[in-house]
Amino acid sequence: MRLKKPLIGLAAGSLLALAACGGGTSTSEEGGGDDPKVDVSELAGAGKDPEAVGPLEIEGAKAGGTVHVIGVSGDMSTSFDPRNVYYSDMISIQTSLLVRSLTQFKFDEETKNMVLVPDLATDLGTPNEDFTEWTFTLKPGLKYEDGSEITTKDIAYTVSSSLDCDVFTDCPSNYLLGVLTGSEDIKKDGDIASGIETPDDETIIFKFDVPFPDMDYYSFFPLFSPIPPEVGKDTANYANKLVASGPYKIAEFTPAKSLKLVRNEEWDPESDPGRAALPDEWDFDTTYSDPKKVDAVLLASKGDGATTLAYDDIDSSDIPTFNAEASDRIATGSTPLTVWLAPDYQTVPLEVRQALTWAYPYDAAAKAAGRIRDINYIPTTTLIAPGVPGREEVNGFPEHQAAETDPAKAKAILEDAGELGFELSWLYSTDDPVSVKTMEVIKAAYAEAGFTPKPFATTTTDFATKRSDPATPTNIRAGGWFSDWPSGYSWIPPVFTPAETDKSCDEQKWESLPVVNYARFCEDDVNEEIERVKSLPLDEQAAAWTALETMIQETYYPIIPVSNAGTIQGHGTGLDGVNIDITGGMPTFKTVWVNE
Amino acid sequence: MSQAAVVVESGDHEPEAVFEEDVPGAKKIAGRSPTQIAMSRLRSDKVAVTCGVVMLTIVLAALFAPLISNVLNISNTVDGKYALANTEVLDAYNYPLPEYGPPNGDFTMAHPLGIAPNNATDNLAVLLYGLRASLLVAIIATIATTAIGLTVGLMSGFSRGTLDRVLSFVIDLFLSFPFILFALAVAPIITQRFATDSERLQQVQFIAMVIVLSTLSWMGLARLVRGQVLQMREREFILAAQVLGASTTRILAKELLPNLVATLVVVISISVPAFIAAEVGLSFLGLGLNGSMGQLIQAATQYYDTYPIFLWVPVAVLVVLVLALNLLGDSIRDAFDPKTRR
Repeated sequence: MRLKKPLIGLAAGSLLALAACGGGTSTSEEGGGDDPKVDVSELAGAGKDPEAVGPLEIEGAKAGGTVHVIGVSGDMSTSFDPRNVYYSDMISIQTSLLVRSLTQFKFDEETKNMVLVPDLATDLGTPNEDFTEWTFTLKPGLKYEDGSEITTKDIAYTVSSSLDCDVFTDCPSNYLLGVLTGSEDIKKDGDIASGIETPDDETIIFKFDVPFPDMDYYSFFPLFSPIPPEVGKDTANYANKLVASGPYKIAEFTPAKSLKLVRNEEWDPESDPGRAALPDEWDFDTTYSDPKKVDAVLLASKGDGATTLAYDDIDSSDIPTFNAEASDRIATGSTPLTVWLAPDYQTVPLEVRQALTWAYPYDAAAKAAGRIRDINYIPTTTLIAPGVPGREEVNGFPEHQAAETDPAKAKAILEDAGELGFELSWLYSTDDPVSVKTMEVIKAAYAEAGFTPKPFATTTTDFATKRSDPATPTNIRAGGWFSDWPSGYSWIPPVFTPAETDKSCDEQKWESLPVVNYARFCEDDVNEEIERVKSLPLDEQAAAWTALETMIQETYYPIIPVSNAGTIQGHGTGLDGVNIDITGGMPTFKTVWVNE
Repeated sequence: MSQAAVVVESGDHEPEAVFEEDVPGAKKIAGRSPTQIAMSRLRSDKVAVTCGVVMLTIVLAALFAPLISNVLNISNTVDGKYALANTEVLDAYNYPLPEYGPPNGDFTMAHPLGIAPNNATDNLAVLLYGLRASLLVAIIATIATTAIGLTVGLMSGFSRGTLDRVLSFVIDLFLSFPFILFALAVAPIITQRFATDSERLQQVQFIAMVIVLSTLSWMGLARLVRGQVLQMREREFILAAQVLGASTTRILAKELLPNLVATLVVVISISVPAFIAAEVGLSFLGLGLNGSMGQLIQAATQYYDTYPIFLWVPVAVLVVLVLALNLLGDSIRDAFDPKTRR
């Protein structure tokens, strides 16, 4: 899943990583009891509840009113066609308010966690023995906003249509390509993939060429929502005439600027276990020029401002003010983001990677980038983000604890290995003051630890391209990954698989960097293990992914996990039920209500 | 008593009209050049003197930035002898701890203007080094602009025919060049070319900034000089020199140039503040030098309400400097202009 804005997108992972390395014991001590904190320890894992039924009731909550959502340019700027949405803000807005998929995430008040529950389907789907076939059954009496019946044929149409990534370029269907049977045979809009069967209007069967155990999670994506084929065939403009199946329908929509939603009377609360849908209207306005202005509106909380929320983080310079004046109006939560340092596995020896682990100025770099410990900088040694079932702490270099910096130990390792003065090169953007400041801090720390730092200058525009080009002469890349759903499947394969999966490690040409394998890591036994875990029974997978991460990190130590991120968002006095959806770092739109 | 009266009376005399024979024993008064007259006018202009002092103070502070930083034990970088570790001196929200000054505490002598959020450099040291970079760029660019503009203007104005037409065309060509676009295009190219060597990149960025500023702003001066030369070359003293067989070089250097001094002084005094402002503007847009005034101010904008002094001090210093230079430039123009007799 991509982040909220295209510019930060995956490239942002890297900026975050460049930025995000800091912390320091002194800061956490000063934190005090009143400071907002993102506690990741309680987020043991996103559970599943196939039995959940509607309606969702929130104690003491009132219906009615209008909720305003404000943001800055870049918010809500990506595609709004359910077959093409792949940025976290659009996914959240669509799945929370406008469209219903086969499954959905429900906010659990007690654990502050998200639980996978059925949406249009009666349960979370029934897989066959080896996860090559999933069957979903729709609830009876589901209707679109115009009163017409929702059938599985429409879902089959949406999924098949989305497989054409030349039309839907953000390509959220990428997990299905070459996996779903017949996924590559779609010639034109309206063709149905041979792997999707709809024996009747209530049943849909997905058949896969290879086991696909995470289908229930994946089914929350808007690409598993129904679209009437006669409307959907206008692929270029469907976003503007989206036919709603959720609790609201579009009254007015200007991409990247505004979105007004009114009630969809055809939505039946009884059929929906995840959406409370209490406000009458939603009014999105993302024309603000400056995050500080958004913060000012939320802080003042006057007029419409009282019923306003924002899904961008509070500007770090405003967090102390919010904390002092409006600490009850801050929502914090984790996001499924991990940033890590990826020393080039092909050229940087193990001892140097270990020395680097001690040398990197985790806390100082995070501070230079304006990150705040335990809010948007949560040190870690584990790749798989908190909230993933089966996740356990992994530390591939046990002498070192998260966010510890010790130049003396780094130097000692380098001296023993005869690598003193090893050249380290990494990217930074000369036109971004934050990037430059962070680079200076990192450079000083590397030099102190006995490395020869050689920062490689680029510009913000070129950053992502330069990073994913193996020809760029850098040997440390900062990686960041935002998982699509809470499963190790969404973490280990993208980070550790080489580009040419059909070839052995000796034969890899490394002409491009595969997905987010920034370390250019490849070991044949790891590749075999990844394939084996993919085909394991579902209940064994969660533990197997963590075991695999442990094995990779303890045996090869290719990456140095730095931190997880959290999010901190503000809202006006007139809103309740604003929490963080930890699967995407967005507000829990489904549970928000107006209290005045 | 009588002596005092005499003193008062003699003070009323117009010094320029005094003749040796009128006041026996008075000291000998020589004829004064236009420059000398202008300087004496400047000295009696209170605005000019004040602005001069302000400018000199700021320039000296910028010039001695390393010395001042060492004496005060402050640092503009994150490494080095006096650098602070940002993990130790900043609070959880990356603002300075109270004992390091505003916004949470009182001013301290150790860090007169406080320290920066996030990377904990000293605001005074950063400001001094920023001024240094900005002033240096402005001064070098002014010198380059003057040299190019003067040469082209003299040559174009004095030569008749083809050379004049060619040079005039070149001037027009450069005038039509989109300045910001040029700067926007050059910055990433330089970054790409010198990507691997950050020290070198800094120097190249500096040189590029000077080149961008000077190559695109010499045209005004060139046109001005050309116009003046066109007027003067038909005057008797030039014709006389030509008749006497003086070489073109001699006429340009010894006859025309001295008559252009007033123009040059005025142009220089106005272009220095203009270059400072341009450099700050470009750096603010991310095209300029790391560590100059523009980037300093840009980084501070998000703290306008929570840490105001971090933003307003550099802005105020910049305003004072540019204002002082502009007013001084105005005074110099007035002083050199024979038509403004006060």
